[in-house]
Amino acid sequence: MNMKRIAVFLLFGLLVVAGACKKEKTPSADLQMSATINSYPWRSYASSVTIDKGPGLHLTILADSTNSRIKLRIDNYRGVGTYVISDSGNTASYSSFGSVAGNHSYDASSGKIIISSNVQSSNSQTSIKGSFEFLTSSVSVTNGLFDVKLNLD
Amino acid sequence: MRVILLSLICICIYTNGRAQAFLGLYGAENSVTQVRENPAFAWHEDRMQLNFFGVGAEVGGNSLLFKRNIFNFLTTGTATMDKNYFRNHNDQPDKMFFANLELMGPGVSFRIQKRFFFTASVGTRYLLNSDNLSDKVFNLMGVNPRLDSNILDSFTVHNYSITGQVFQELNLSYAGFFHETEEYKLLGGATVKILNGVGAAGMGIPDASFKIYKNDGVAYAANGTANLAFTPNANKWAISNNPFRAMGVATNNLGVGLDIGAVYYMNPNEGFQVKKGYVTRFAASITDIGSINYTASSTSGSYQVKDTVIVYRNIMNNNDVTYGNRIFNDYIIDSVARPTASKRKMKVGLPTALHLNADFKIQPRFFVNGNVLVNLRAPSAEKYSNHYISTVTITPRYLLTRVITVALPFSFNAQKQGFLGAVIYAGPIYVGSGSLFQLATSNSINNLSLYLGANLRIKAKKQKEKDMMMM
Repeated sequence: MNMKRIAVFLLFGLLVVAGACKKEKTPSADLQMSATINSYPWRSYASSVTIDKGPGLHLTILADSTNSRIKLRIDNYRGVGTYVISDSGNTASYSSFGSVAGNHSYDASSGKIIISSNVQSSNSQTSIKGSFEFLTSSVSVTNGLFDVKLNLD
Repeated sequence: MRVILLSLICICIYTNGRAQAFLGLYGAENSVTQVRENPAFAWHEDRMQLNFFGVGAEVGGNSLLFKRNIFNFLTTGTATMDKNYFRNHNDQPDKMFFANLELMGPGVSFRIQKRFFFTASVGTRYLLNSDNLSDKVFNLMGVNPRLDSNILDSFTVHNYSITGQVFQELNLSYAGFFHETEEYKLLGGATVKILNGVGAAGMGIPDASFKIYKNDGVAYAANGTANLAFTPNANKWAISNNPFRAMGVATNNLGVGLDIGAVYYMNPNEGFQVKKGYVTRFAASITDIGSINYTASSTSGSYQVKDTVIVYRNIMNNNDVTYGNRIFNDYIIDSVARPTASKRKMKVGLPTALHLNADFKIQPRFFVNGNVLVNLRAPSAEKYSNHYISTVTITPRYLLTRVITVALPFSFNAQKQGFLGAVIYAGPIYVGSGSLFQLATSNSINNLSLYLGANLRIKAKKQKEKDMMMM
């Protein structure tokens, strides 16, 4: 193997590592929710935002990972602000789905959801960003972040 | 080619249409298009009748006056207030407005065993109604609002409603005899309408109040409730856009409607040979019974405004941003309006109406037709529906030649407006307007009406002389 081949090999390897490192450090554009569940990192692969009304506007954010789900619900949504869980109907929950262990749902007993940004991002879409944390009887959810899109036609 | 054209003209019929966009089109002969006015008109003496197309449009009410240059809209696609149309400053306390646009055809009408008559036709309709807007509030709206006094003035809205919908329909009609002699015939008919709701949008304000100071574009101390519902992407076609752009964002909500009617023909014998046609005809029908259930956009529902300041100065119709996004960000998040109820479905009523029609043969070539259209839908802030305007029409009709007929409909409606129109039937073609004389003589027109269409009548084979001798 001459030097030229070694150089090409190294360059190729460098590009692969660089690409992998970049992917590791920077969340992909479609990351919708992340959190730490009992000290383990958790990421969603899909999310949805829905609204329901009357009286007040209820906003529900659902985010799914491979075998678990986080659900945040704000009972009287007013945009940017802090919404305390268990206060005025705001709720949060963590659910796990397992073929062996079965399905379990853990409702938050305390915590908060902070909406940091509510911006019309396109003609039919509103971008909602924020953070959250909550405690259940046996699950601790911390460092929660979300960046989701609400489609309104 | 001329021979073919002439032949077509000779076998074609004088055709009829329906209210409201075809007001004044009351001819003597039955046709596939007339069935839409009364399903019992499916009866005819021809082998078959075809409707190629029909298009009718009518815009009216007591809130706007149109200049003749409004027709530039057909080429430019835009109409500007105080240039192409302006406010109608009259003494009527409640302002209303309507627009109907109907595309008909194709359709076919045929008979089986000379006793059973069937018609199948398709059409697309756009209906818009705005009702019960107080004169004072109306003068605040749009460009160049009428200047108010410098004092704090109070305004109220009561039972205001605006509803628009676009839908397609497949009409399947049947007519049959209740009673039949050579001289007198009584027929009944029904039409089942399979409806495809393309799009709908509506708002109702049961009660609201606000105050204005120096016309500064701000509503102070606003209180009230608004019911709001629309199908997804209604921004692309509603309010100031071409309504048929709704086809591009069709929601495809199915519905069913019904027309029922009866017709009585009187043709007393005065000679040895029975004459075709009739001397007098009476007809009654109820059309457009039913409604369409549309799936509503997620922001549809009821909203409450309580002691709120609303800056309406910069509210503009933005065709690009969806209504849902605007309501969410401009009103809910800004705490202007509070949702009080949700709405998943939007039920929009068809313009149910009663039609009474009488046609008299005064002379062999001269007929007089009387038509009464009675609206059976009361506009309401609590229910979304479209409606016609109750109208009485008297239409003298003269057959100039075998293929050319002229008619002059005079209409008087519930808004105490009178119109004189003109219709010409030339073989298979008809062209008319329910308010032609207003269009021709004035540049402040409160009703725009225009329609045209084409039909073909395939007559039954003539009975041979030998057969006649044997009878």
